[in-house]
Amino acid sequence: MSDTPVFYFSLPRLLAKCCGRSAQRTQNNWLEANAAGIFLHVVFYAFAFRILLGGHTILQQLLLLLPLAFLVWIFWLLLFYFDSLVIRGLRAIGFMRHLSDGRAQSILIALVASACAVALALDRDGYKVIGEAWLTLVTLNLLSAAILSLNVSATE
Amino acid sequence: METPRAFLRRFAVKGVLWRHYLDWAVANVPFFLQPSMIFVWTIFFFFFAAPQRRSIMRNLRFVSPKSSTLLNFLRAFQTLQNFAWTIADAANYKVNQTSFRYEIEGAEILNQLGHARGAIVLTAHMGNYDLGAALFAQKFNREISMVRAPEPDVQSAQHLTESVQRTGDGAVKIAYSSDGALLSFDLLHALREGEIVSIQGDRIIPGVATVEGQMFSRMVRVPVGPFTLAQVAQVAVYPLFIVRAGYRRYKIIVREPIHVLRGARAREEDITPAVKKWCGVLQKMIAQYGEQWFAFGDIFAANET
Repeated sequence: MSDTPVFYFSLPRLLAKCCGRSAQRTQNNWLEANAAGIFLHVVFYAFAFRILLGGHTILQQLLLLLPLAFLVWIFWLLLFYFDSLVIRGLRAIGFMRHLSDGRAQSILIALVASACAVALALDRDGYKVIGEAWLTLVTLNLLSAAILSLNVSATE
Repeated sequence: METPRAFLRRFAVKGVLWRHYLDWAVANVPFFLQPSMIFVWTIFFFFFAAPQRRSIMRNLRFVSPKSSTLLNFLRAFQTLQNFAWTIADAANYKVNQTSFRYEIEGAEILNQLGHARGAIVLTAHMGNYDLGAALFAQKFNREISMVRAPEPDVQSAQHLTESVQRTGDGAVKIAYSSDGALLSFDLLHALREGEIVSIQGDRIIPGVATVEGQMFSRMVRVPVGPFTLAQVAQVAVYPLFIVRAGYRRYKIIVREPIHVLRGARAREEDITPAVKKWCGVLQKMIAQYGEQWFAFGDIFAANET
């Protein structure tokens, strides 16, 4: 297989296409997998920090950084399980039947992360930057998906 | 009905619960969240699987005698993280049919092995040997009989057997080295029928015949079975390893075949040079890819120089 970097998300795929590279979808890009995952963690962690540690002193916040990470980790495990139940329910009424579990989870997680990002974007300082950055990237990604989809339809 | 002890055994490090959870997780956790999940679960198992961690550190003391305890501690973490990645990759391949990139070192020898009429693949608990067997079976459209060290938990063993067979699309058959004398006859028959038999040659279990070798200036015991089989069936032994080369990327490494001659002397004398060659190959591999050597038992500790 070629070593040309190909991507999963629409935005880098569209950019790659503009540079004359492959716009084929793949999950084999290390940088993309890590960057998207870490940014998602940052959004959830910032949201949890804001609602749970927002009113505390700096010393308390520093002391609680690690326990908060553990709490967010537990939240993740519960979220995956809860999402799997939602997906099962949605499939029972005819939705998401053509999507794999992983793709369906991606959609639900992106929705929850975007809701957190909206709350962050309405706040101030660092929170605002994180929230707005997430929402901008999600919007650009959706736009790229639409452009790529139109492009494929036009080619056909 | 399940006894309380049997129920609790599910939660042990080698229990079946974690394997079921892994299958569920790779199906449900999007790929971009898997790296961070693997990292956090590695931290959990680094402390939960304390005996395995200690064994890795004891083995590392012989592999890298000049390393500090702290460095070996970090290397043990890296080893467990590599292990987590390899089992997650194998589960992804099985559950999601994920594609992997791989490169081959020793392509000519691999091709020779792929077309050999009867051969022994001698490998180690290194990298992703389950995925490697499946890729090999797929690439050459051949069946492989894989001999493994037994799993301590019966349900885990069943799950693992099913997983490997499903990953290999039925072309990989599993047998356990504890299966007794009949296994030797089955393997000999398979070799004479022209099949490929894959055996792990770096770990011994009680009751399995061994032979002395030397690695890192230390005496080690390795299974004698592969060499005896090769001698009796007159087939070559191919050292083969599949190591992680990056994110969803592997490297298949095949070394020159080892031939076990059948001379007029005692069998042990014929086998000794082959064992020496195998230990030499294994030592080089461990020196290069030590953080992917999943020796979760003491290999050197009980032996002296």
